[in-house]
Amino acid sequence: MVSTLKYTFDAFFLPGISESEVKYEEVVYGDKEEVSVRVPIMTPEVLKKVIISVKESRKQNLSKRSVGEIVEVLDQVGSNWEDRNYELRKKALAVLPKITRFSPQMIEVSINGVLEMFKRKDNKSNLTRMLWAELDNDPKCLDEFIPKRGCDYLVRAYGPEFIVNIFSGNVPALPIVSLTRGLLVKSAQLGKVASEEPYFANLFVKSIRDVDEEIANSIALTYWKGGDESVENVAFAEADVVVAYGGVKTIESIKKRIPHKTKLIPYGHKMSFGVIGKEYLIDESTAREVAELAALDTSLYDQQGCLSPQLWYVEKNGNISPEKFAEFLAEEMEKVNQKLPRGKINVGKSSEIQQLRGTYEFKDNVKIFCSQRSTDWTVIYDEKEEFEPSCSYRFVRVKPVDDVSEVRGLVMPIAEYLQTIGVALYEDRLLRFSDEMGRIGATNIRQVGKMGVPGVGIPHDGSYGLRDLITRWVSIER
Amino acid sequence: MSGIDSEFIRKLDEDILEAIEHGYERGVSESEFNDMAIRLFQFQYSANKPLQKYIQRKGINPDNITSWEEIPGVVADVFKDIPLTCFPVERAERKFMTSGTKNPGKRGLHYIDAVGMHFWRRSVYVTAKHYFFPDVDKMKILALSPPPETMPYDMSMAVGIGEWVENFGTENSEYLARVGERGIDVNGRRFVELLKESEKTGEPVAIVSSSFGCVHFLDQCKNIGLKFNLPKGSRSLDGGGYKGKSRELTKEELYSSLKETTGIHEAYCVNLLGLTENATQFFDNTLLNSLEGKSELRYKPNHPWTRTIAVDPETLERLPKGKIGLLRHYDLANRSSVMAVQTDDLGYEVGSGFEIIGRVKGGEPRGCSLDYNEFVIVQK
Repeated sequence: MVSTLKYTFDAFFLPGISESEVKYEEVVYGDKEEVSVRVPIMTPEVLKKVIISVKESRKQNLSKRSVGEIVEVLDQVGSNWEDRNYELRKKALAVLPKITRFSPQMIEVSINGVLEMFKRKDNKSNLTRMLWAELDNDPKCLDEFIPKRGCDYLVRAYGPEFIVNIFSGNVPALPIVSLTRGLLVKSAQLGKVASEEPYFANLFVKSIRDVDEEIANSIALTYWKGGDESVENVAFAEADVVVAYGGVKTIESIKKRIPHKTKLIPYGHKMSFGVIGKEYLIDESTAREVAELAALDTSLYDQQGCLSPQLWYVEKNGNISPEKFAEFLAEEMEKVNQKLPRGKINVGKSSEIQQLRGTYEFKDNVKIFCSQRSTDWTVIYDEKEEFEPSCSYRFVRVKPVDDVSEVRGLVMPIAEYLQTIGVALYEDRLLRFSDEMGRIGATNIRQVGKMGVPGVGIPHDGSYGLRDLITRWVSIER
Repeated sequence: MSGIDSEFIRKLDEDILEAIEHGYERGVSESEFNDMAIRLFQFQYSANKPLQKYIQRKGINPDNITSWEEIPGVVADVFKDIPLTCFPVERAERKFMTSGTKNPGKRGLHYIDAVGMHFWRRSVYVTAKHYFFPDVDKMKILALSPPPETMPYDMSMAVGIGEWVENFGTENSEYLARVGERGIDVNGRRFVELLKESEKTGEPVAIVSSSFGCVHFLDQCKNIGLKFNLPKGSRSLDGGGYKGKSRELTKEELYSSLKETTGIHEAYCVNLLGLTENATQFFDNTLLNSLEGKSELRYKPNHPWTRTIAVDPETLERLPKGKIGLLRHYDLANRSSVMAVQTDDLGYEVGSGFEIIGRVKGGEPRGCSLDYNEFVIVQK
């Protein structure tokens, strides 16, 4: 085949390793194969060296920094990214749509989303807020012994020496969250990027290097084929903590292979959905507003996120019927698609959506709303209540329920996978409903329209992501 | 819908059967095909209630259709949900089941009544005669599949093979597989014996198997260094694709390796596409072309009573020749269910027909290929 490659980018960051020590391969992306990404062909020997290097760098530099200094560096990194002329931002916006098939607009929205983490509000850094929330104490406990809030002892938290992150490629911003947590607990880190999206993490680490090279050098990013045991075993043997994103199979396989002493923090397959109460269906304008927010939640990350709603349960007996709501949702899906187009999908996915649409056209008690001459979005109003996962890429079902209290029974079959529930409910019902959902497995109840933008310092899959990294809490009583 | 009476149906059936029986010799013009397709669509609309609702939902009035291309394809997955019939389901003569490779719990079912089965059988006969047995009345068929009546369920390809054996097979034809506990076991030892016998006696054979069965066979032969030089006139038919059950070969690789191992010339290696949801099967043109001295690319020509198009996966609109999309079959022999089936097979239009590339990624592997769980050469 004639190569028409225009750009090649490096999707790795290997401090302490010279270019010539590693062999590379190119992975090609884009319809016209216009982008290629260079990834190292990792060997156990090279990986060992990489790990020694990041650990050494941590020992010499990162471990000696105060958490306040690290926050300052990251704040600066974040504000660099805010600058529209920042070179790495421009690169991300140009290259990521080609690699991920997300639309450029979607990439921009997800980058802006992750940057929230580094923003300052009321003169306080969001990172500092996050640290307070995670540690339930002054973050200085990561630097020295300080009084434990509300107790009579001193406490200090020690982060792990070395973290291995196994990233997934469905949402570009995920690696940034993980790497940031690792930096704040002062750990050396290795990140294994995903073949679907190997690039963004690398840009992020380079942007750290732009501000503080010493800190950046405690992170290494590389690629290997998931499950490549010779390489993975080296990484796992050295790791104090393995943070792994991925499906059930990936997580299970890792679980079997990590050493006993190593802690696994799995972020496995999760499912989310939304609930609209009749109090938000009192009139057309309210219902439309909610539909607009629900459309945004559904469209974000082209519905590939673990926090993307698979379907919407809508209460009957409001002034606006669930069916009407589905119609409003469809109108809003179209509007969102104008502003935030769905990315290109492969022919298999298009076909899957066409087959699904086509089967619904034969069903009773359903209504189909969908984008014309494309598979960009589909809203199915279906009176069959049972929970059905979506095929993603903006294919969403609206199902009527008499009362939100029915939802518990309906989602029971997937209870162990529950994560985020987008809600439009008044306070008293919200608390009752959240309690029901929390009991069976949901971990984040979030207002409709914000499903895709988790707030600062909230729990992650039912736990605190940064706090979980802490190897040891040590107390002094006098 | 007016005017669909028994006379309308009688005339329609007669015309379609005429096209099936004599279409190859006398030809069926585009306008004849179009006319029959529209009438069949009108009949199916009136008789097939789920189809009727679907067409109404799409806002299409069958009386206003002027070209067969306006007839929307019914997605193949609907066969997994509901019976799509122009007759009361209890009158079905056959209930063909898809292999359900990925999701055995959800197989497609194609119900066909006695009238429909007549069309089906005639189509199976005529197409095989035209593309696979044009030069012989009968020959020795070695079918690497179990006798159809031993299959635990109706599988269209197995039944089709049964039809071939019955109509084109000499007395000494054999089924070389049986339904075992874990799937279908092929008696490889017997197969090898028969191939050797054919070499010795000079009696050509027709090998009929699934594509992955074929690959397994070739691999096994290679492993033990077996090679044959089958007599002239021998041929091979493979169908059903790979379904992830063997390594995947391109047609060129498969047929050159078949030639190498069996001596069967590439042109006599014919690939078959059969869909449970259709009545008509599609054959490579190579054997016929070779007999007629025609040089043409390998592809699957339309039959006089079928049209296959490739549609854009996003818009479902017909693509120009050569452009890859999702295959949609218009099959007038699919008289008793639906004539237009939208598959998720990838392919493109070429010559006066089409070629299939395979199943789209992200979809589940399927096809009507025999459900071989394994192809074992039993070396007892």
